[in-house]
Order: sequence, then structure tokens, then C-alpha cells
Amino acid sequence: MPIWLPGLILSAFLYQNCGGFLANKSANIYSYQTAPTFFYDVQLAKVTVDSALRQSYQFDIAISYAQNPDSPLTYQMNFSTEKLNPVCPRSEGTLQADGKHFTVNCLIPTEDSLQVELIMVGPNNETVTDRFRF
Amino acid sequence: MALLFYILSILNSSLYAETILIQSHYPNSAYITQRLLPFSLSTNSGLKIENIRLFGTEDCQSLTDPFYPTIFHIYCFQPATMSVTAECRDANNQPVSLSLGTIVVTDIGQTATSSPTENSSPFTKPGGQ
Repeated sequence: MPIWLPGLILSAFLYQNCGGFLANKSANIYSYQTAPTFFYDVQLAKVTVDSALRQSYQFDIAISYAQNPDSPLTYQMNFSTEKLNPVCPRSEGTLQADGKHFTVNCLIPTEDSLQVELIMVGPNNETVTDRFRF
Repeated sequence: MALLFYILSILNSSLYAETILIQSHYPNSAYITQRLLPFSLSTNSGLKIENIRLFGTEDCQSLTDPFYPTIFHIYCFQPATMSVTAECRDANNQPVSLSLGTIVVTDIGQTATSSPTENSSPFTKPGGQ
């Protein structure tokens, strides 16, 4: 076997894998399967645990009405544990053009996963609900 | 308005001038990594985005929205500072280049955010409801 053949095979393998990795990164960026009514994103900013083992979640949220970023919209966030026991008062409000980025906090008493339900209502009463698990 | 990035009169033809508005859907404080950042182009005539160019970073990607032809997105995997140019075609199929200026994307928790004014629930009691 020529001495350069293993190197060639390894190079070809690495090249193919890099290509696949980049393609997957691109494909995952846009998550909407149909024309979205809202652009929105909920990210977990931080989790802290106090001495009583309570977990404090801080969420960073951005929402916009897709067809017109100037349109006000309303939102509601409901929190529950994995067993669907409600925790934390719901957060709700009206977002104006400049206020579509905000943080919400939720403190839960025990070590448990948290489910967040986000309900968004547009200017024509279009309603979209999404759920997140943290 | 704070969301306005740029107002540009273009197409210096003798026939007319066109005004194009590039508008961010989110305020600057929402520019964090791992978040799709939408921007809208609005114009008094037809406009189609052909390409979005990001200068100064290799950690971000741009894409035109597959459902809304006048909306594009920027997504950053890492914190980045970049200048953004949108290359478009107007209703007369003429090329139009628009600059958004500099955009700074940071990691989560490094931007100033505000809680919504209505009925928000900062740090609630355990077992709240």
C-alpha cells in the first residue's frame, strides 16, 4: 500500500465530516416550519440555587409580530413542573414596539424541571402557543 | 424610533427616489448569541433581498426568511461585532446595496434588559400558585 494512501483517506474523511457539520449548523438556525405569525425566542439566562435548594430561573425573551415589527402584541407565560403542577404566578402583559425584549424570573421550591408555556396574541387576535422545557 | 436602523434614499435616477427602511424586530438589548435576529426591509415599491453580507465575523450567519421575502435574519454562534450590508433588487430589477451599520451580539446575560411593566412576576414565592 502506498505510504500516502492512509493520509489521503483520512483527509477525505475529515473533509466530509466538516462539510456535514456546517450544513447541520445552517439547517438548525431557522426553526419555523410554516410562515410564522411571531418571531420569538425564550432562552434560559441563568439558574441559581439557594440554601433551601430552591431554584431560581431567569428567562430572556424576545417576541415580535412577524409581518409588522411595530405592532403591539400581548403575551402570557405560564410555569409548571414536569408533573404539570403550576409554579410561579403567570407573567403577562402588552409589548409595544420598543419593549419586545424582557426578562422573567421564576423560583421553584424543589429540584425539578420547569415547563414554560408561552402564549402570544397578535393585533388581529392571532394566537400562537409554544412550550419549552428547561 | 429606536428600532430604526437606517433610512436611505436610493436610486438616483432622474425618474424617482425610493425610500427604504431597515427595521430590527428586536431592540439592541435582545442581540444575544444562539438567537435568530429578524430584520425587515420596507419600501414604497417592490424589493427583493438577494444576499446579506456580514463583515468582521466568522461566527455569524445570515439568511433570508423562507416565508417573508423582505425579512432576513442574523444568527451568531459566538459573540461578535459586525457590519451588515443587504444586497437587494428593486422593482426595476436594479441592484441596491443597503448598510445597516454595526451590530453587536453578546452572550446572554451581558446585555441590559428590562422586565415588562404589566403584571410581571419577578422572583416569586415558592409554590406560587
